[in-house]
Amino acid sequence: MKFSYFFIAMLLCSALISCSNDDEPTGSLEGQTGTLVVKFDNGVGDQDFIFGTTYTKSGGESYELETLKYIVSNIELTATDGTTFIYPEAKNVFIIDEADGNNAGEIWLTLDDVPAADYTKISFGIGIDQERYSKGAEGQGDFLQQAQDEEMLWSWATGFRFVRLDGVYSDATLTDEALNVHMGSVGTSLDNYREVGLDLPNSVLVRETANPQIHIKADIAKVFDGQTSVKFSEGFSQVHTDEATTPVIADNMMGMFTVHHVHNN
Amino acid sequence: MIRALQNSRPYILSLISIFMAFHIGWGKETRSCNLSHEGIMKPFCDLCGCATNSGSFGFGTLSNSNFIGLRYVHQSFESRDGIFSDSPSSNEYLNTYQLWAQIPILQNIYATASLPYQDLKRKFENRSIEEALNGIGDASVMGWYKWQFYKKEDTVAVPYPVTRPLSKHSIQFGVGAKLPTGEFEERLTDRVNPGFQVGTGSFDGIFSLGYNYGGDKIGFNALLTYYLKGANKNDYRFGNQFSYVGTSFYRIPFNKFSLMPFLGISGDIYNEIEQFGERLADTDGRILNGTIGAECTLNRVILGANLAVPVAQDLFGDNVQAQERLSFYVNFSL
Repeated sequence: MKFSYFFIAMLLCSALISCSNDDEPTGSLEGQTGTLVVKFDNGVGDQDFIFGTTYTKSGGESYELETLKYIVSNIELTATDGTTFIYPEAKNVFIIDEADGNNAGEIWLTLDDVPAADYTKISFGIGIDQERYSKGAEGQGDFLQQAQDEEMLWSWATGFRFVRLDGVYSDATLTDEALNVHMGSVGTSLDNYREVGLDLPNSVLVRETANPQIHIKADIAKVFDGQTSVKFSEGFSQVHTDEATTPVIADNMMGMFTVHHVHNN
Repeated sequence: MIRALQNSRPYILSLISIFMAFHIGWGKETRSCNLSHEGIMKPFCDLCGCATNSGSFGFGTLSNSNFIGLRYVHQSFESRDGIFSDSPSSNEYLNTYQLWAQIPILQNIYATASLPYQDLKRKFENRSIEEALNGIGDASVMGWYKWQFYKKEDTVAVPYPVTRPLSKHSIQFGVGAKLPTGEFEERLTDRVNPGFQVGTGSFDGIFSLGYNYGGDKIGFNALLTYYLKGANKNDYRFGNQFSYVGTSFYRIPFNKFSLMPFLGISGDIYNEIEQFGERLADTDGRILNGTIGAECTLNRVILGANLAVPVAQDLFGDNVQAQERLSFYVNFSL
């Protein structure tokens, strides 16, 4: 008897104390900022990218890379209500270097002081836009030195290398020929800066107390087999400042990014 | 008083069920649960929480007798540690030591409860480090009503039997909850897999319907269980889960003890996980196991062993592979 009462009482109590309505009142995000991690994860198709691995592409060609880096800038987030947040310009330029990858091969960008909001879209540029370039060498801040150290700058007059893929390629007749794809804008005469906008599969909730992440998958195969399929043996094994080949690579790179998932925690 | 309570028993039970269903349903709308821990859980973690607590594993012994006992469960998973098809994998080893019991309350009412101690290990294919974690896991408590069928009236027999003989069939209804008693370790949130935790941090409702047939030689148990899952503090809500188990056993009597080998199937179906009101892709799944084992009854002691082997599975976009689950238990009949 007493047992049964005790048992029923226990069930009721456990149900009662279980849940409560503690939803944040709307508007409480005002003035709140948080950190957002954007992870870049390079792959080739559904394979992880690994230095020294041979990957096949169209036209019976294959390649193997020892350097893989590219510049990402002008990260912009769009919130549920349509408002946008652009990361402060001086800090809004990054080199994604596969060699900097962690154990899982991910390169993390940490954005600080992001206004708390529910973001549904991320946009960024590949390379350096003309406005940033027009600020001159002094206007680049620390990034100029960083780009020089990472060999992502030809010379100030020519400008930045937006991507740097170094390695070798092979086809039916050639073996381990040099492969150097260094695409960029050329001064102000050739603009290869491109922008990418990606919808997020789930909203990313930036909060003072949260550590959300956007996990971006970058498919390196798309650099060569994107909008246009290029052949190394037909002028694309050495891509530098040429006004015919560089825009093709730039356009292809626009299609290499997808958001794999977001983490809200 | 006893009679009054017995008469009102069905009402009390329905009241509890309605209340709990309503309460949990309401909790779902407001989408917040205060009793939970911090940190996010990967889908995998719900497996830790439920693999050892799950309806697909049963709540008691074959003969549905009352007992108090100790159960050890070992289960391992292989999960992909990355987003690519060739991403390195990690192996999770879950050892659970569980205090479990089925306690009689009234003639047709009993309770089951379990309190697990979790000892988890995670090994990474491409790294020498190993994650380990142990502590009290999520407890669950259920109340059951057993509806025992009687044999059909035999008109030829004595016209005034004192009690009608029981048939071999019975049905049980159970309502209960999984409680967020699992300890949470703050430091783990910074690790690779913050979901590597002993508890899910959520309060879940459990609803079960079971059928038993217990003959002299053979028996059959079936149990369907639905888990209505609450959200934890991180507004993370594991997908509702449907579990089923069917077991047939054969009783071999010996001089001093009896042996009951059994064979069956069990499975779980998980809905997608929701976080902040949005469904997360690739977080649903299903698994079907074949089960084999035996129970040995020696006076008041019941020894049991149960092996579940996955027959078909598609868990979380195929990113997680469940492996065999082995359990041993020692129960003392009450």
